[in-house]
Amino acid sequence: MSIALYIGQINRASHMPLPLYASKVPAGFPSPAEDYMEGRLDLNERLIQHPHATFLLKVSGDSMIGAGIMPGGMLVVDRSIEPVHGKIVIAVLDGQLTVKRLHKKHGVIRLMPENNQYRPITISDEQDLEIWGVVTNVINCLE
Amino acid sequence: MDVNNFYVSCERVFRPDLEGVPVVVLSNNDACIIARSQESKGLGFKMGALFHKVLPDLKKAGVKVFSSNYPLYGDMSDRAVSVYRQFTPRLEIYSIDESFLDLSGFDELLDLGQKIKQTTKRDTGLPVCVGIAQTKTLAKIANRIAKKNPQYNGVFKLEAGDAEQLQKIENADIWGISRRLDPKLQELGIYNALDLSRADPKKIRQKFSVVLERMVYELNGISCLDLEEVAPAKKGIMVSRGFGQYQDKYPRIQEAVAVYATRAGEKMRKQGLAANTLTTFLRTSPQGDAQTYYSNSHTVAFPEATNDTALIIKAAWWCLKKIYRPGLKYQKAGVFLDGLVNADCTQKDFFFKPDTGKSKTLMTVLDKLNKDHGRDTVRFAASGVSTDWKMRQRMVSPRYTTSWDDIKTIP
Ligand SMILES: [Mg+2]
Repeated sequence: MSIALYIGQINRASHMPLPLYASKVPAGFPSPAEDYMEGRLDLNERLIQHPHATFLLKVSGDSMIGAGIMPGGMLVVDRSIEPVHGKIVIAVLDGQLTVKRLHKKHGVIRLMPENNQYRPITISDEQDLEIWGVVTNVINCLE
Repeated sequence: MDVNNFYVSCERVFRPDLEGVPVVVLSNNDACIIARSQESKGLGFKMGALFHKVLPDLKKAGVKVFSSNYPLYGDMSDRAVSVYRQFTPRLEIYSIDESFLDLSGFDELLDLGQKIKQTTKRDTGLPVCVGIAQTKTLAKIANRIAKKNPQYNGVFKLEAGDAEQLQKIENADIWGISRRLDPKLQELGIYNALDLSRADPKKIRQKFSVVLERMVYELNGISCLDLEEVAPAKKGIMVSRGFGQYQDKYPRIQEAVAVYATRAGEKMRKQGLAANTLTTFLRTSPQGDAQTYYSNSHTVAFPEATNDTALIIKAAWWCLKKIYRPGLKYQKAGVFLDGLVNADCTQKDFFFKPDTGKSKTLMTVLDKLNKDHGRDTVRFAASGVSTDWKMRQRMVSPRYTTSWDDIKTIP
């Protein structure tokens, strides 16, 4: 699977081969990365690990302000990351999308808000919960 | 690989509330049904049904109707292909929602199929079915079996000579066999894929064509259709060629891509079609060192369906820029147009506006291409064909992944 990994790295972003890419190129092959090593910083590179699995969503509510997610903030959501306990996730609860912190303890799954005006949601057996993706970054516009 | 009810599935990724709800997607100008969810199929709504005729029935049945949103579908298609590419760089994009993956050298193919299926669902939200077999023709059949029989959990591996399965596949359901051909085959006592696989290839060739003879071999597990080979009854329009010699200069590759784009545009206009999405491919030689093998593609959607050469070249170059990596020696590039709609019959419904502001630079480039490649390789469509269409599209969903203004908001 080393080939697949290699291709995956090339695909990481639109226009900035990473140093990792150079190291994968066999000796004697001219490194295409060299000319780009000192390229201008690219926020895509910083915010998006898996472009094909990353989606942007906007938040209107204030239930997660404690986690730094302000109303109007833009979420970078990576679907390829495993939604383990403690991650901030986009959950689909009874068909509706919501952003909360995921808690999994003693077989009980809860969606935790980060604003004490809101109550945690304990998922009952009748409820349909699916994790849509993991929030990796939030962009809060200050203007 | 085949995405289930692709257009509907794209809509549902951003509308999980529509899971289990009957959904249909309409053609470009809201003329007819071009995609149906399983529920809509169950309710008896047919592909191609005229929207205005079935509207009362759709309303009564509570079917959610969408106009087509090609910017979304094109992007989701591109994401799915990116997932497949993580498993193997050797793949062929056959249509907006179908790809062939070369899995030679891999073991435990059923497990691998499940892994690809699950990763695609996880990363993109799209449900896919996987058909695995020795040949492309058998893989298409395997995919059909995977889709129609839930007990296989979306992945089916078909062996050549599996009489039980092949017997269930009617002639017209075999890849590349048209409905027109079906009665002629039946006259020869060929009613299904098993019969055809047992026919004498020589006789089939005499009676029909080399293409059908190949099908007989393919059904027996003898591969006749290479990856990337232009297959019969292809859905989209593909123009793809190897470069005479390895090419690493961007301008030269750009020129080649412009030529292919032009050819694709010509083909489309000849058939009276317009495309909604465009894909540009680029790869190095598969014969080379596996470590340096590079193959990539990018797909974009046009704002409106088009067959305008200027727009097609622009889009093809835009994609090329995304996938070109300096320092590699490329062997082949291609342009693929999909989401084809009938330009003639839709035109009546569009406001017609002649294209006025063609870029002067582009014209210069085209003129140069014509000079370099001799004959009228590159030319614009007669002025009547170039179009700036306004579509009806009254029920189109937001362009969730391609427009800043359309990003989905959650409470
Ligand atoms: Mg499909």
